[in-house]
Amino acid sequence: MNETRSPKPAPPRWIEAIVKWFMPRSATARLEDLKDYPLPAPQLVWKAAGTVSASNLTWTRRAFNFERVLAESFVLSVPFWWTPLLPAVIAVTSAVAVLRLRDAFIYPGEGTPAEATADSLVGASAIVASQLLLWFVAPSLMMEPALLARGTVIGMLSVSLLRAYFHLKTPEYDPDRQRAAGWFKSTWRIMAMWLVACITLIFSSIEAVPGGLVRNFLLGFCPVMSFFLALKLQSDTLQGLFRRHEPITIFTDPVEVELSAKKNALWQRSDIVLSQCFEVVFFVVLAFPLISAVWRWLDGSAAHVDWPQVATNFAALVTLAYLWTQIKKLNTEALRQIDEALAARREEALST
Amino acid sequence: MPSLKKMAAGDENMKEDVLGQFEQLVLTAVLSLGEDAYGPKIHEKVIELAEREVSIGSVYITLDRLEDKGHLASKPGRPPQWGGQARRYYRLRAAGQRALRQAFETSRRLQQTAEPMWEFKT
Repeated sequence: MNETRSPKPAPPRWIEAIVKWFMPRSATARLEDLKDYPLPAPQLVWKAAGTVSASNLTWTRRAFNFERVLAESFVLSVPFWWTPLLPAVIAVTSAVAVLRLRDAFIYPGEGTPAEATADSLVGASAIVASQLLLWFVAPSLMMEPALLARGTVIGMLSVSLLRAYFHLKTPEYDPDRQRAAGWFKSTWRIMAMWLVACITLIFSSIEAVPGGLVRNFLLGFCPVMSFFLALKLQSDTLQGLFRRHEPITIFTDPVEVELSAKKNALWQRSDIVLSQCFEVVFFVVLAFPLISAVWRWLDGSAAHVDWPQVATNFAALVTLAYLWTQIKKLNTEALRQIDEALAARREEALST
Repeated sequence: MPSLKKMAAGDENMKEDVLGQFEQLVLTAVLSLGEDAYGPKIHEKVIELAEREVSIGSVYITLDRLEDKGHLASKPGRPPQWGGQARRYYRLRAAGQRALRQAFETSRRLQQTAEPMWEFKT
């Protein structure tokens, strides 16, 4: 990997300046690649355009963060709440879109005041540019200048504060870590949705089969407790479920520590008896109101039971139990992906 | 019902390791260039292997995507003596080698199945 090649004629300065201006910060090394093409200026411009657009596309994708887009859209839209809807939507959309390119340009971002100021200037310019475009194309959709100025100033100030915070939390580009974290996030999202469905089912069952206050409290409280106990007990560690802040020395790889902690928060094994017990308790508690309805029917005291609701909830319980088997398989896959990422990191560390 | 695994793997980076033809070309180019695999060289090699004109932009996009999938790794070389920035050099990772081998095996199977048919037809 040593640079043994001889100096080549540099591309014209104006091409170099334009490429530097548009190229994302993390891809500026590609400017050096352009020096390998001894081409006349028009053809070199074509190559440079291809390089710049490919790099921007990649880094826009890598820097894209859905939560950040939502947060920025909300914060930016607040000062425009009392303005006509369509011009406000155009202004907010253009600023949010241009800020995505800005994210790609500065990835991973430093969260410094200078960067935050530049962010707000870029966003404000996008809003003004969108209004200028409207002035040419559809003047009736333009916003009143006073409302536009107020909205832009307040909106961009709040967005720049928000971005300064977000950029402090943006991790460096690390494909192994990001892939493993993506699996972890998706798995937990699906588990959380499944848990919400279980809780909804238990409350619906409580209504369908009326009972005492203590029973209702226990039925509402026990499933969540037993689920997290089952999850905690099978992870075979005394650490917190989502513990991330381990003491880091020069011998520890913080990414490895983070990924190992993520593994502990997933469903890892099913051979721990106590964990299996709580898993069973979870489903028994979920089914308890339905079992008690059948008991009352046999006992001849089922006058207040809502039978259509009980039947629906039974079907939902069977579906949720089936989904749980699939969720456990998903956890196994997420664990495999994290293990692969850890192995790849170790292999990388050995090869360098 | 779509499997939960597919739902969770919605992200482009997390999809299964099946390589497209252009990805195979780029990985083969990186493999054949060894220690000297950087942007323009890979571009040149891809053109040679594909026997058609290919834009530098599509090579860079594919290199980036393969890096995201964990098939390739890149790191900066030494900065040139006469000034300027250090280039990024690419190399195949174990996952990339596995995926490429799998793609070649599939192609070989296809060839073995199709070849007798061609002979029969001609």
